[in-house]
Amino acid sequence: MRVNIRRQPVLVFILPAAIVLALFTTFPLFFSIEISLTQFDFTTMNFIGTNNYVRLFGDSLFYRSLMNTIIFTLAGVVFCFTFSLGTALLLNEKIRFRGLFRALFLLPWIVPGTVAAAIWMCLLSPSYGIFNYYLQQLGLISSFVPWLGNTDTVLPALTLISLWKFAPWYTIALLAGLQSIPEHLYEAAKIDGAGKIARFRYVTLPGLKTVAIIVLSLGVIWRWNHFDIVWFLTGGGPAFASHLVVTYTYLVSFSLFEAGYGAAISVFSIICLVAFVVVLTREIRRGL
Amino acid sequence: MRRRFDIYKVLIYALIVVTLVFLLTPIAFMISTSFKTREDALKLPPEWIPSSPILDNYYWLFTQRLFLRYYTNTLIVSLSSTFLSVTFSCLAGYGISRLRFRGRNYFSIYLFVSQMLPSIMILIPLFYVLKVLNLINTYLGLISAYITFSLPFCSWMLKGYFDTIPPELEESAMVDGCGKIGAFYRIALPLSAPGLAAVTIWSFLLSWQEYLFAMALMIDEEMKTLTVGMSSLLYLEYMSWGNLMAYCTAFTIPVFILFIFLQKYLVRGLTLGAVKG
Repeated sequence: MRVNIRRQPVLVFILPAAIVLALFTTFPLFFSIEISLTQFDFTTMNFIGTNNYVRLFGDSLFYRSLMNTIIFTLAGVVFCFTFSLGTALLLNEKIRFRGLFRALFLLPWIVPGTVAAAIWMCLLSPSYGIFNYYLQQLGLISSFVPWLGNTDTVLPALTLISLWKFAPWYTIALLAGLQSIPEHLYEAAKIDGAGKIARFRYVTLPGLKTVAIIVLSLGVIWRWNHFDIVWFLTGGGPAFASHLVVTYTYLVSFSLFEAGYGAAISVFSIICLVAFVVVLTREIRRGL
Repeated sequence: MRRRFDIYKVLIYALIVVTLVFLLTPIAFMISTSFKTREDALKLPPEWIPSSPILDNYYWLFTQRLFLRYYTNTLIVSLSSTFLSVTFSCLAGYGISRLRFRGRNYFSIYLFVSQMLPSIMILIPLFYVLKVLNLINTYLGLISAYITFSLPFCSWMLKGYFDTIPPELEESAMVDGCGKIGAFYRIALPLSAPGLAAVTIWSFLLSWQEYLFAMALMIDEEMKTLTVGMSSLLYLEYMSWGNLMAYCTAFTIPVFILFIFLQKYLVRGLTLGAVKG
């Protein structure tokens, strides 16, 4: 009787979440692996063994999108982290209106992804974009650049847009990390004669370790699976220059209806992602 | 005594202002362009405060039957998935934080890992299953997908919140005759209201702006959400920037309003979740 009373609530609390996750993540995960071994167009399914994976290794478009994803993820996370560490340090200073600044800094993050894409489409426009206009006024470019229509500039432009949209979240998380570093550590370092830079290197950075690991690994995961801004703005173009693994998977599965191959790509992609995150986490642990 | 002119402080404020200009210019552009005519929107240099502002863009927008349809769809899907996701993650977060049961550690690792799965990987099998069940183009399909997106992170965030509430409070309530569920409902839940606010805005944001699933699962024009409807309503190559930005502003306003009210909690909840992991 007593055991029953104790056990019943556990089920009430855990079961709803467990059922939802089992139905919508665990089951699809295994089903995905099964689909990846078949030829599948959402109606008929033929088992073809590992043929999809063999095809994957000979697919130059897949390589292209994988390389793009790695560049986009690495560049994005590195820039976002550096930018946000800087802004977090700024906001951590004893300044007036800190609450207001913090709220304003977070604004781009709540703007929906497709809205961000639409705004930047206008800002970067090759004929009327104010981004081009102001760069020209500053003398940085001589004529207007079609940032999103050029194979060399499309990935940097998308990285800039995602920096604008996602950096605020990193800033807030890092700011919380900074505020959790006890003040007396700084005092002690000061007494020992550490300058501003030494205090940053030996107190601030190690103190940020946990937050940095979380922020960076979440950043990698989110960016690796990033879809909306890229698909909305370029659809992977021009000439495949901005296709990421996710957009390529979408193209293959939902435009070409080769869902078996699409599933194989996504299975391979998550293996890469897990490896990426594991290596990254270990490097940060060692580095800081 | 007059305070010393502090060059360091000035530098800090200057850098903050520069960063704010970068972060807020696009939003200012969106709002100001939504009040401009097709021609004014293309003028260089831009007028940041339109000299002859018009409301035609909004008038056009709100007389589009499809736009109102998209708006209703998005509201229905976001509100229901937020409600369900917050309910489920409250229960799960409390369960992990308070109750000791076999497999508790596995369950929390399971939550964390399910956050890592790329949504495209879930989409392919889910699309097939929903198709077989005839749930493509229905609210139910999209709502259940959205619950899954926010559930893991929300549960983690709320677990962190419940961890900060001393369990003695609930214990004394239980001594006074409350059951476990009563202690949760009457004591823990009210005390974690800021955490609930954070989780609410988080999952609302997630479903309000979701694009990939909405695009694949809502094919019928009548069932589309605002994210997907944008490109079909405003044929992107030829539309006027004024119309587009009016659409964007109307799309963003609900999250801005929510943000103004819940901003404090969101920041605290996010940071608590991030620091505690």
